Order: sequence, then C-alpha cells, then structure tokens
Amino acid sequence: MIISLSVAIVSTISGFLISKTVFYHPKKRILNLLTYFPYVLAPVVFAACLSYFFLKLGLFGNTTGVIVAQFLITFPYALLFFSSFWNKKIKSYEDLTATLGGTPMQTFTKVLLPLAKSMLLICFFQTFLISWFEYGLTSIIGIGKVQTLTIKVFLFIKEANYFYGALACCLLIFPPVVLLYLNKRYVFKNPI
Amino acid sequence: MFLEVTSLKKAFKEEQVVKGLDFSLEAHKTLSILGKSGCGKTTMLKMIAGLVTPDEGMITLDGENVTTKKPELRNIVYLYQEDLLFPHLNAFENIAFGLRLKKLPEA
Repeated sequence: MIISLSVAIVSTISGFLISKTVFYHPKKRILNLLTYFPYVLAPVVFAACLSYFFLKLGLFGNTTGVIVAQFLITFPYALLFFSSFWNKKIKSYEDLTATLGGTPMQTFTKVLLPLAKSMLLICFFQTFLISWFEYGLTSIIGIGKVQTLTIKVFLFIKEANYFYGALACCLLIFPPVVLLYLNKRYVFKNPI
Repeated sequence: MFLEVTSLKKAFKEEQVVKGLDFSLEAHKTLSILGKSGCGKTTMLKMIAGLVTPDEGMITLDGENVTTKKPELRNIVYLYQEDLLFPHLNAFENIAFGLRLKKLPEA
C-alpha cells in the first residue's frame, strides 16, 4: 500500500508538471514518442534491462528500488495521460491570467490546478492501480525480499494455500473497489 | 504619447511576421488595426502585452520601457477572440478574478 501510494503521488505530481514542459518543448513529438519506451518491452524484460543499473546503484532487493522501478512505469503513463490536458485553450488561460496580473504561482494554483483537478484524481487512481497490480517488475527488482500483496497472492496460489490465497485476493481487490467508488461518486458527478 | 512602438520586429523560424513596426497612441484614444490573416496583428498585440518577446525594437508604455517586462507587471490585458471564461468559476468569480489576483479589497 505504501509503495503504491508513494508511486502514485510522485508520478501524478511529476507527470503533471513535466508534461507541461514537454508540451512547450520544441521537440515534444520525440519526447512523447520516448514515453512509450517502457511499454514497448514486457515488464519482465524491462526489469532485466534495469537490473544492471539498479545493482550498481544499490537499489536491488529493497523497497526504494521497487518504488523507483514502478515509478519508471507509471511516470511515462502520467506523462501520456496529461499530454491531452495541455492544449491551446490552456495556454490561452495562462496568457489571460498573466495579463490580468497573475504570477506564475497564482496561474498554477488558481487556474491550472482547478482545471486539472479531475484529471489529477483519475491519474492518481490509475497510477495507484498500475503499481498495486504490478508483478513482473516488482518480483525481479524486489528479488523476493520486497513482498507486495500481488506477489503474496501468487506465492499463496503457487503453494496451493487456498485459504490465504483467497483472503489475499479479497484484500487485493479492496483498494480498486474503493477507488472505483470514489471515481464514480466524486469525479464523474462533479466534472469540471 | 501613452504607447509607443519603435522598430518592432518578430520572426518565427524563417518567417518574418512583424517587420520594423512603428506607431504611437495617445491616452484615451482608440486604434484599429486591420490586415489580412497572418499579417502579424495578433503577434503585435501579444508583444505589447508581453506574451511574445520581440526580436528587436522597443515598446514604451507611459514613458516606461516595457519591452522585456513580464506580462503580469505591464498592466495590459490581452483578450482572446474565443470565449475564455474559467469553467471552474461562476459568473461573479470570473468578473472578480483579475481584481482578486491583484489582491484588491473585496468592498
């Protein structure tokens, strides 16, 4: 839960901020294309590519390593997700706010954040779910030392421990159900 | 003169959009600028508002050189052609938005 929450919070915030930089960058097409890179490879293959660097950096087999590895999957997702938010209309809102006397911080807090509220929430939910159900990458980078609930479910099923397997499965689907409920209750009932 | 524009130039990549523009405007006067699409009217207005940086030239507002001044410090509002009401604000909040940004007293 802590791993998924950390990954979701960091990737949503950084994805929102950096997607703006990407939108205004002259080479945004190439940058957008690069964000698809983690999805070209299967998570296990991606983990194998990362493992060399993670070993060098001492991130193998610990929680920090798993958070960083999952962030490398969720961050490009957040970038792609927010790429649809930045458009000419948003730029016009920014310009209008600036000419009305708004500082960049005021533009961010009073215009951009309220406009992106729903998208920020949805991105948080989705990155949380990507991290929550991540298995291949987590099992390789975590080398069995970092036990997430998804990995536990696989372990219980492998061991034919059906009671704990079923219990872990129930716990596994609990956060997604809560998020789906919140999504339906607050995001789609109060669209911006 | 309230607004003075001197030798203003702007190019986007190879295309020279504004080529050495000069004009001046007195206070409380209205100036209409006409021209075909793509002749640089919007670019000129955006340069005056500070939203586009000119390549060359000078913009003087009430005796002060504002060429490199940030848009939020110029006190010039640039209105877009399309409607730009903030969808997260109600009618009153939209009207009060600019005043609230400047932290003016509510009453």
